[in-house]
Amino acid sequence: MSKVDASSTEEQLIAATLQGNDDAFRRIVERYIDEVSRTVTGMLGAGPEIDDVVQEVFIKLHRSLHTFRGEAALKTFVIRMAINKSLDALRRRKRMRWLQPWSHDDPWEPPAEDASDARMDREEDLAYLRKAVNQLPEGQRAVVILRLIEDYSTEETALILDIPYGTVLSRLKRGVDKLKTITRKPSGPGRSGGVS
Amino acid sequence: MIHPRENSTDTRQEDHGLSPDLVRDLRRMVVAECNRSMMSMPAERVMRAVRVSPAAQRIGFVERELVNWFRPVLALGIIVIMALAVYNFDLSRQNDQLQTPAEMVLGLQPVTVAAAYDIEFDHHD
Repeated sequence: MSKVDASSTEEQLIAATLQGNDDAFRRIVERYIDEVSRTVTGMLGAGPEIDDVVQEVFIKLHRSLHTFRGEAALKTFVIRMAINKSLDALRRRKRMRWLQPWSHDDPWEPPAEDASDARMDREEDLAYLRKAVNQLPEGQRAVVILRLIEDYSTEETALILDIPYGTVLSRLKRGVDKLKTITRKPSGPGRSGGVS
Repeated sequence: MIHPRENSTDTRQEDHGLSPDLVRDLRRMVVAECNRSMMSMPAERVMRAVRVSPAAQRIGFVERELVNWFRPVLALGIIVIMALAVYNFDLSRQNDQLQTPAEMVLGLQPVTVAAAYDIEFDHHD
């Protein structure tokens, strides 16, 4: 079984994983877990299911690594899975909301350790921003997350979402317009051009 | 602890026209939410989950989905049964026949030897 270390390339890590080397897959996980976690959280918002969805992404990656042809970067492959799993989770949420209309929609909030006024204001602003992002349709939200939050280029975003370049631009435009409109409202965080 | 994107200065602002402050806040929001939601040592837990046999994963998923789908059906079923029991009980109290509580709740007619041989054709005139 081939040995891997921090300097191993993606191809070496994939080949070693396919030979059953757990350490190689662990390095792949460590390399991409931050991006995957941020992408999933961007799509879903804070919640206890984030952890499960991130795990599902890597379990799926482990099972389908043999189908990776190397035509795109492994990162593109992983982030596409993260977006697809997030969309699955959003649909699951919708289904549960339909089945259990009595369940409340309030976002999951762990108890705050420091409840100072400034911190509370800041959290309120970020919560308002989250509500604005949640109002975007799934397609626009995915583009906004990848393009603005993860800072992928338009070409990379098109490749990850497997949609034409022009569609990325139009969804970005519509998503940004909607965010601007929401955050410009007097009660919103955009009253001074941003949440800061 | 989830780290913000390394290259966190937005170099493509001209494409989208959103204020850099708002973009920075969006990134901050996601990192803050991520740190609140993710438990410690996520890579370790992912590796443990990957090692679990695929069959067990599949069964776990099917069980979870079945429970999720069955829960509202169960609740609705209990409500319907309770409503029927209350309706039967209420209806049974309105007639003056002596009935056991089980007969009242289940909506059963009182069956006695006398009642069985008491043939009346009054309603078929």
